[in-house]
Amino acid sequence: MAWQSNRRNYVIGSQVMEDKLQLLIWETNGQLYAGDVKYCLEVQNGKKILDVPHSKKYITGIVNLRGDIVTVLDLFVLMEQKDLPDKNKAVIIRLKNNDKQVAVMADSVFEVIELHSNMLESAENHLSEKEFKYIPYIARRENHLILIVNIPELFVIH
Amino acid sequence: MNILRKVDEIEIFFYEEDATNDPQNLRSAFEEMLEIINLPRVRLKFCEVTSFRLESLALIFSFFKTLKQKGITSELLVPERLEHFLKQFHTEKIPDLTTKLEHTG
Amino acid sequence: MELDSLISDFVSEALELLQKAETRILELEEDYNIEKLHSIFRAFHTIKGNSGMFGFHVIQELSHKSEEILDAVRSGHLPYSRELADLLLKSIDRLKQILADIYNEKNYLISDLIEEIINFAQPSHTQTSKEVSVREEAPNLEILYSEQIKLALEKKLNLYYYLFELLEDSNLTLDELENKLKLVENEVLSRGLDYYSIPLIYEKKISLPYYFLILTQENIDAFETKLGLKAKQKITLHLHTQQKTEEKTNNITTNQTDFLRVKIDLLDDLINLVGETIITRNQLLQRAPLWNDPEGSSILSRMSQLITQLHTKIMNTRLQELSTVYQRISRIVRDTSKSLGKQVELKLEGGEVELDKTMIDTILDALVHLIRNSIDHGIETPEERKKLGKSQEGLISIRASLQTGTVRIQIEDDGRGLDYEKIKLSAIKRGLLTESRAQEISNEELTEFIFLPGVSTKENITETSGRGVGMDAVRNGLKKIGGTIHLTSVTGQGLKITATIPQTVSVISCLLILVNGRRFAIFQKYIAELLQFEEKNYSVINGHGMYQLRENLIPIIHLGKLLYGEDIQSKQQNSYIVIIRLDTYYFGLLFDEMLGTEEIVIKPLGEHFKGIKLFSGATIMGDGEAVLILDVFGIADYTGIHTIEVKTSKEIISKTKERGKGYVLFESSSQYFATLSSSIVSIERISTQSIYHISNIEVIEYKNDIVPIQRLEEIYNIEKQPDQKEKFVLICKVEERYLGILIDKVLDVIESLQLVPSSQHWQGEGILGHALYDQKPTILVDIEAILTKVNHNKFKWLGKVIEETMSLEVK
Repeated sequence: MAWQSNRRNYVIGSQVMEDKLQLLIWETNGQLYAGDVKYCLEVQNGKKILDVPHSKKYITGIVNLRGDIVTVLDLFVLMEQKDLPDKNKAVIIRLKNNDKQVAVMADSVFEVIELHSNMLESAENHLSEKEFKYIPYIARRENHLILIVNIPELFVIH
Repeated sequence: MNILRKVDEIEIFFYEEDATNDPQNLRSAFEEMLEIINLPRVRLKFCEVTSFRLESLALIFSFFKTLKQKGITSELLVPERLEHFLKQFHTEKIPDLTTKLEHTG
Repeated sequence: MELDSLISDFVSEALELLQKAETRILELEEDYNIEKLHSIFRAFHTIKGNSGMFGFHVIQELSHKSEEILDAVRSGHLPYSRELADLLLKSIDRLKQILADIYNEKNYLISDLIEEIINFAQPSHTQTSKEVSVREEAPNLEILYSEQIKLALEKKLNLYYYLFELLEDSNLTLDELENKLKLVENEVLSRGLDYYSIPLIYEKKISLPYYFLILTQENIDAFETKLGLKAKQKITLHLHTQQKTEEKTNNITTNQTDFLRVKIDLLDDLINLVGETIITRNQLLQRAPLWNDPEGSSILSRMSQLITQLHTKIMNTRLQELSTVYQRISRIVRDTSKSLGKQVELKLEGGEVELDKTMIDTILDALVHLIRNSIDHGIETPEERKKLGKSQEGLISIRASLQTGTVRIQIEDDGRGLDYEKIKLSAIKRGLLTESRAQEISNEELTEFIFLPGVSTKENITETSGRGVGMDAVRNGLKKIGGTIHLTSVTGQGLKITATIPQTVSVISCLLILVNGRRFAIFQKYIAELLQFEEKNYSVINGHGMYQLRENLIPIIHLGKLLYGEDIQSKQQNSYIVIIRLDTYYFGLLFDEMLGTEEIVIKPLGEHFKGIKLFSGATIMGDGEAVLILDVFGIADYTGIHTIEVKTSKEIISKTKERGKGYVLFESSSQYFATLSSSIVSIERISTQSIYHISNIEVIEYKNDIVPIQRLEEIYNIEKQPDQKEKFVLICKVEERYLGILIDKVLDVIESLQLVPSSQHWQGEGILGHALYDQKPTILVDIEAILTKVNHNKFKWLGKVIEETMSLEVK
């Protein structure tokens, strides 16, 4: 039955590879990223992120989003990349999975696009192992390369 | 107490000291007896018992009940003057226990 | 999805029914009642029906079998026994397990339980064990007395089966029993020995159970009082319906019509909204003075009040009665005592006290742990207890009460209590306590060690209790919700645990500080004092920063270093220290700037921060920014501060022994004094109880000698203040004997003293001058001179008395 969701399975949409996907597109460090809209709650600008001493490296800090304290994760630290975004200028994307919430930073957020699942390619050969964990698929559109983020994986706590 | 083994029943003589001494002793005595009783009927007879502890009476009833579980019927023989006392316990309602009153002269 | 929410409703309803059934089952053991049996039956019946609709066949079957066996009891084919209760509880546990994992329902096996139930219900089920409980054979009372029940129905009266133990009251003779019965003759239908309750010889119990069958208008409890006999069992066979509604139900509210089921998510949303409203209100309140609009301001003021009221009410919606926790506890006590071979009676009070829902879970965990500990470590086995002259059944009582917004829960047992010697040894072994300190430490201070992880006084670790990691987890859990816990114990008599928790999680008063440019909040509750940092009072001892505060040396934590790895040397000027008080110890936190106090709403940090002890949450300021709340307990744990011994007067006393020069500053009845260190042989700490009187002279024992002591209050006509439990004596040697000055406490030992011109007030024997210490007038005295004079007068004849007494003793 449909309610049996398996979070380890990085299927992005609930319908497996058959239908269209609705993805939110954002940009960080000149690269485009996308995430399934069903995990995206909102986007906020101009919020100050508070760093938390003694917290893990991949945690940028915490931020107030409509009265809730939300943890901000640094996707790039998770992927063990070097170029880290500027936390003071970031746009915050608030994400949810069931009743949990996290947020990620972006330089700017664009729009929601629709993509047919057969346009996705596996990113396995293009990315490192750590990156692949978070970005299982890539897509091309109008000469742009879009990295599709596996949002549920962001909620896994190490 | 003394035990007299008859053909198809066992007679237990219950004395004043049994009725008034430490109940734990009485209980152990009953426990031992249960091991050796192998006849279908037991009769417990009060012999010159003028006073007794309630605990001893309680143990007697426990003894009878345990016998019943083994399928042995019991009979309690008491002197007349203890009659009214026993009546309070309505022993007539206890299954498989006969209470007889001995008429002492 | 529609189906999901229906399933979710089914699960929560089923769990509620099972919880109620469980409570009834436990109650039935104490007080057999047909109505309760019916309600348990109905619970299983409902679950059976509902589960079938969803296709949850496993649940359906287990409920069905349980329902069947209850039906057998109802119709008299099977007696209600402890074994049956155990079986039903097992069934309930299994169902709860399955319901918690509902989407895997199909995978759960129940064949073991089904088999057990079927075997139990067999008519040929014979008891071969000698340890059989007598009630197994009891006939169903409803059948036995069906005639009498009909009579009760006709006459509109209550029918009770009243059982009591004749041997219970050793003073009760059969004649007295007869007399009592005469009082209620009309109401007793029949009476006699309850044969079925008589124990077998093997049961090693001596019992003479006696019953009455009572037909009465009254309530059975009233009847009991009238009779003056304590019942062993009271079984209601028929209750006239009018009384049914009057009879007190227990703490569980069963009246459905006054309550409404509300989704918890909705309540949480409401609370969040109110929280944000408060923050926005605070922002407005800050700006209001700038508007220069008096009418507008008063409207805002009114709205502010309304918001505060709204907040309180909303917080109250989350309140839940403690009785929900109590239900679980009853079950746990039963199971735990059974598996450990202990007999325990549980007394519960205050189930009507309400707590915020989020706290209930923490309390439950804490109570469960404490109770398990109590049954495992505290309560002795029945044999042991008998040997000690205690009743074979141990007693655990839990009392809850509410006092001005704080809930207090007391758990008391009459078991072994704490073994202070063992705690000492364990602490010494773990390097937490020095041998010398161990000799002076009080029992109260020792209980602190129980709360440190790894300290255990139990030799064998049992599966039930764990490895001594429990108590610190309990305390931490309580602290996280703003609560505290204290232990007191008398060895051999029992243990008393007192936990306090705030009733609601709401707005808390905090101090805002600045560290390395970031704001932090500290709960006002734990703040003892605020000071400006002064370099001269700071020193590093054994690698720890210590600060001199009056007569104490207090460990200091540099927050900049702790949080951001800042270098300690920098920024020490113009810093501040907040002195934190935790239970019995103090420490200080060094920070950059003080920003003021604020009332804040605590928000939890996410799961990502689980391992970080230093923060207990975050809050949102008026300007919309997030601020971290420091967890003072976590900081203390992390830095290991409680292992640093706080220096007290004792250390100062040893300082005098080293120095020999300088002055000792002390206090008597709030008056400060100073004297030359060189006149003092030693400073002894005594308890006032160890002061004896010989005639009108006070003396103490010192080095096997009787030493007379003198109070300065007497010499200088100072109004004597009431004695504290603990005092000090300055011992001097005067003319070959020891004499002492009795004082309240030692303040300090200093090298030099600046004398000030004296006023007329204080002139007298032995006064050398006046000074100022800590801005208070201090009298410099020559205690040798004082004592020499006293020795010639008051104490002189005493010497003779003592000699005589001692020579008498020698004989």
